[in-house]
Amino acid sequence: MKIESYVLLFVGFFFGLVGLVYWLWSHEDAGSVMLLGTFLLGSVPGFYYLWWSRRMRPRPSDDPDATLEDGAGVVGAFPGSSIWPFVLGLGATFVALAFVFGAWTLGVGLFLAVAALVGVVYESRRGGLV
Amino acid sequence: MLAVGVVVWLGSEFMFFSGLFAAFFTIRAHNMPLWPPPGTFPPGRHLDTIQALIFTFALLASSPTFQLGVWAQERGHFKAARNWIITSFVLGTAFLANQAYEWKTLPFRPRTNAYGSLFYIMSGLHGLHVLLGLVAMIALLGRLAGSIKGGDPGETAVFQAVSYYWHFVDFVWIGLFSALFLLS
Repeated sequence: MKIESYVLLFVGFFFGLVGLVYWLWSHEDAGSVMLLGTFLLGSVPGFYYLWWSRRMRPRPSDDPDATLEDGAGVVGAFPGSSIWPFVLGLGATFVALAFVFGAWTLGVGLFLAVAALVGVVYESRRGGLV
Repeated sequence: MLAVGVVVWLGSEFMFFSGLFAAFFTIRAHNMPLWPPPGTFPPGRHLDTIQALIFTFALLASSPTFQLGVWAQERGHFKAARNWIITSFVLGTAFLANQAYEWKTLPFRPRTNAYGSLFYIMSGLHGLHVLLGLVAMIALLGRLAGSIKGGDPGETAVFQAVSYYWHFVDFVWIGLFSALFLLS
């Protein structure tokens, strides 16, 4: 986990430096804020990974002497394929379209979003297609 | 691992809000030194910064209370955890209620000018994040109800993940409050 954190911290460090130079050079707000956001994009997960790597058991992939057998077993629990994220995205699109076309797309969008949320929760509880 | 994924997602959320801030500062720079643009407010009216500040403190206070709830859940003190999460929920709801009141009473609309559009889209998208956090808290309370009755050990990772999200929402509001209220 340390390697991953160094990669992210490098991203944060690089954009923090660029942001600082940019701000001192131009005194321009919009770009500086974007660069500050990019600094946080790298540094927040980076520091979290670093903190996390001290708490977790070392993974086989962190050990140069690990064998293939060390990595055997369950990797994690992952959700199966599902149509509901698509429906949720469709609902979110309709909600956003309400800004342009008025309130009626909001109703359609909220219906789709709620249906998708219910669907995805039940799917993860019961398994299979709902 | 859930918490790790959430933190990566929050990293991308920083970029999302950065885009909004960049739009805000670009449009502000084009209008300077008249910000908000003339005609946004009727003469003698302005944003109620004091009222917004009070509810900003309410939102910021909900972060420590939520964290105390997570720590209580980690130690298995489910009733204390429930009380802390209800406290955070009430504080978050108060913040959102104030925002709804603000929106209702503001003299400008999104279509008034670019300042109006920015104000509503920035505070609205943040409000949406607060709302999602409150929905997540209800889910956590449902989980805790099972723990208090017994039988459900609870998933600490879920509580931690929601707490990271909630701290993020509070942190972003400091920036939004500074931009929308203090720089106006």
